[in-house]
Parts: sequence; structure tokens; C-alpha cells
Amino acid sequence: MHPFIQKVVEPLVSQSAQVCPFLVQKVALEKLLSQVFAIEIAEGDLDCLEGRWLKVYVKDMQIGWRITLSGNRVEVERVAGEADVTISGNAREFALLVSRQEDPDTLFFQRRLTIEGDTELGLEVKNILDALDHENLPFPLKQLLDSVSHVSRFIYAA
Amino acid sequence: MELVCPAGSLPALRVAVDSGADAVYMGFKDDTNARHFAGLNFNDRKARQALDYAIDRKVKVFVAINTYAQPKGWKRWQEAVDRAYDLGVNALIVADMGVLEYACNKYPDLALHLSVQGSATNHEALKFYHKNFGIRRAVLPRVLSLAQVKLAAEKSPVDLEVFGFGSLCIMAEGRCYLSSYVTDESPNTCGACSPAKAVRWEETAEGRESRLNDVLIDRYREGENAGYPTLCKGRFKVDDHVYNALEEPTSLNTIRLIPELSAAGIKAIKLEGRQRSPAYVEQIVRVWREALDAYAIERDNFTPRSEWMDSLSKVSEGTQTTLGAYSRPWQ
Repeated sequence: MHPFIQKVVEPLVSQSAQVCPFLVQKVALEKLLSQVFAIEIAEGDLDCLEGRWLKVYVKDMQIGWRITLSGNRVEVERVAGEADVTISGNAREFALLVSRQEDPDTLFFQRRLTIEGDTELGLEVKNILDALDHENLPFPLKQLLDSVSHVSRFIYAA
Repeated sequence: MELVCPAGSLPALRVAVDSGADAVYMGFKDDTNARHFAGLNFNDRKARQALDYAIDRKVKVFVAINTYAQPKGWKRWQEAVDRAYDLGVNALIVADMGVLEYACNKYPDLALHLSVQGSATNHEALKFYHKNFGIRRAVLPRVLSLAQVKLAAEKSPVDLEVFGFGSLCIMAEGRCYLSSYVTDESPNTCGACSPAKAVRWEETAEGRESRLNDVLIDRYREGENAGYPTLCKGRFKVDDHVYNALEEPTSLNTIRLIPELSAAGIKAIKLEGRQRSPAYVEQIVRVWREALDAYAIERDNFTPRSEWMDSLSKVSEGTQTTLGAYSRPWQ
């Protein structure tokens, strides 16, 4: 794990988990995701997740979430149960993906990202994320993505 | 030479335009194009936004309607042509003769490009498409050597476009049924090579296993680079020897050939990858823009820069590139 992740990001994530119970995180996260994907949900693009679970697992931090769509609302759970498709990688890879600095296929070819389970569901979600217009994101989220982009450019410059 | 860049989504199209594309190509959300994957491509609203963005910045937009119309779905191919015309796109990229005939009769002013899937390998074939459907440009199959490209270009009645960069397959464009053999679906008929629903990846103690419709096509050991789950890139046991019997996962990269392609009169370079993310599109378009601009200044002194080549290898399938069929020095 990169020292920056180990010393700064990981304690921050685990402390925030202690300070802020998962239930609060869950409500905030679900509201945010439902807002971000409002158009996609309304147009039926995310129907593929209705009643099916996508799991995202950050290996070096040993944390993960699973996500589904339930009656036009996004639902998030801390990983416990099964998922239809699981995407896993280290924190670095997810930071590069979220900030659109690396392409998932590239990371997959280089064995830095794995996808197991229903490939079609994973691919569809990937394509929906790619098509998401970052210009239309709520301002705080746009700022957060910009920060992830700057920080990851800085710490992964090598 | 014009730089023609891939766009599978609106963000990809925007970065292609912003990174220096002269033209972008895209497809609709159905099996009328050869990258028919769930979640990819443009609905009417996104297509309109895409056109507006590109046209405002003087970048051309081509629409790929380059699969072969199936008996039950002919209306879909007709509607795709109508929709593209109504959008006001600069050209259609078409392979099927029925679709070409429909488009050239109904919209005589609409520019038609023969898709690589049309597989026209010589000037007589090009003449046929030009005479019968009035095509203005053809994308040459990647199976041709540079000498053959030059020969076709000498007598071609239409402008020629060639592939500059992107994932390489066995290059039997428009005629490949390997995917169909295992999954019953192929790019020609359904718009997808190795459709995702038939693909399964599994991380096992022996490495990453890749299966297509339950058929094991490869097992990547720890540290080995992976490729797309296509039959042509699998490793098979032939005479007790397990290897890439057809080809290794690799990408085509022809930056080194820019001077020769330009001298041969090639009018456009196409970059592959509508299935890839905006990050990939940005990286490859930026490199190719720099390379073409450098060639415009340096001409005879043009030499590919190592940072271009590294940057392209990094995003390549199998993390390696080749000159593909262009380089056949023995010919």
C-alpha cells in the first residue's frame, strides 16, 4: 500500500467510520447516489441493477460496499452478503478510475483490477459510469473528484 | 491526414474533441453498430448533445452503422440511417450493401464511408462501391501490408482511411465468425465480439481464468498481462504444446509509418476503441495529435518520440504493440 494511503487515507476512512456510524454514511451515500444518477434512473439505464448487487472491494484497505437499485432508489450496504458481480482492486486503482485518469480496461489488462461474476452487469455499470457527465455533478462532489484527481496525481506521480 | 477518434459516450466524445480529434465516430444504442455493448453508445438526446459539441468546435461527426442487417431487423438499420441523417452528421460508416443502397437512394447528399467491415482490399472492390453507392471514403482492412495499401491508394477512386492504433484481432474483418462459433453471436450479425453475457472471469490459485460460454480460453499466471476474452487471443493445446495458436493479445501502433502513409496519399487515420473509457480516449488522441502535428513540421526528419510509444503501449491490450500486417518486409 502507498504510504500516503496507509498513513493518511486509511486512518481517515476508518476513523470516519467510527465517528460516523455506517447507518448515517449509508443514508448520505444513498441520497447522493440517487441524486447523481437521477437522469440514468429516470431513463431506465440503471434497471440492470434492479434486484441485483454490485460489489466494490478495496483490497488494501479491506473495505467494500455492495450496491443495488430498489424501486428507483440506490441502496448501499457494507459488504457482508453475496453479489452478482464483484470489482476489486487497491485504493490507488479506484482513485485513478474515479478521477478518470486511467481506463478500467488498461488496469484490467495489467492485472490491477479484477472482475468476477456477471461480466455483462459489470460492463454495463462501467459504461454507465463512463457516460456520466461530471459537469452536471453536484458541486461538492465535483470538488471531491477534483481533489482525488490532484492528490492521486501527486502521490502516484512515479 | 485527418485524425478520426472513437467515442462510446458523451464524455469520451468531449475529450476526443478537446484533445485534438479532426473527426469523431460513434454509434447508436442498438445492434446496428459493431460495438453494441450494454450501457455504451448514444440515445437521441446524447447524440444531439454530441453533435452540438463537436460542430461548435468544427470537428466532424461520423456515425457507424456497420453491422450486417439481419432479416428480422431491417427496419432498425433503416431507422438508424434516417436518425443519423436527421441529426445532420457528416458521414455514415457502412458495411452492408443493402444499407448502402438504402442510404444512397434516400439521401443522395449524405456522405458514405465504406466500413472496415466491408473488407474492400483492392482498387477494383473500391471502384465497385464507388460506382454503385457513391461512397466517398473507404476504411481499409488491417490485413493489408504497407505495399498493398500503397497499391490500393494509387488507383483508388475514393479517399482512403487506415487504422492507426487500437486492439488487434485476426483481421478477417466482416468475415470473422470465431465469436459466433463459441457464443452464437458475432460483430457482423449482433454487433459484439465475445458478448459480455458469455464471458466469465475467475481468479483461481493457478491464475486468472477466462471463459467464453463455459469454454476455457486462457489462464493468465501471476504477473502475466491479460487481453480481451476473444477466441483469437486464447491459448490452446496444439500437439501437446499450449500457446497463442492464433495470436497474442496486442495492439496495432503505426506512428512510425506516418510519413509513408502520408506519402501514399492516405487521407485519414482511425483510432480504435469505442468500448474504452474517456481516460483512454484522451491519452491516445493527445499522443496522435502531437505525432501528426510533429510530422507536419518535421516531415523527412520525423522520428517517433519514446514517450508517445510508451504511453500507447501502456494502454494497449497485452501491454504491447506491433506494426501488424503493415510490416511484411519480404513482400
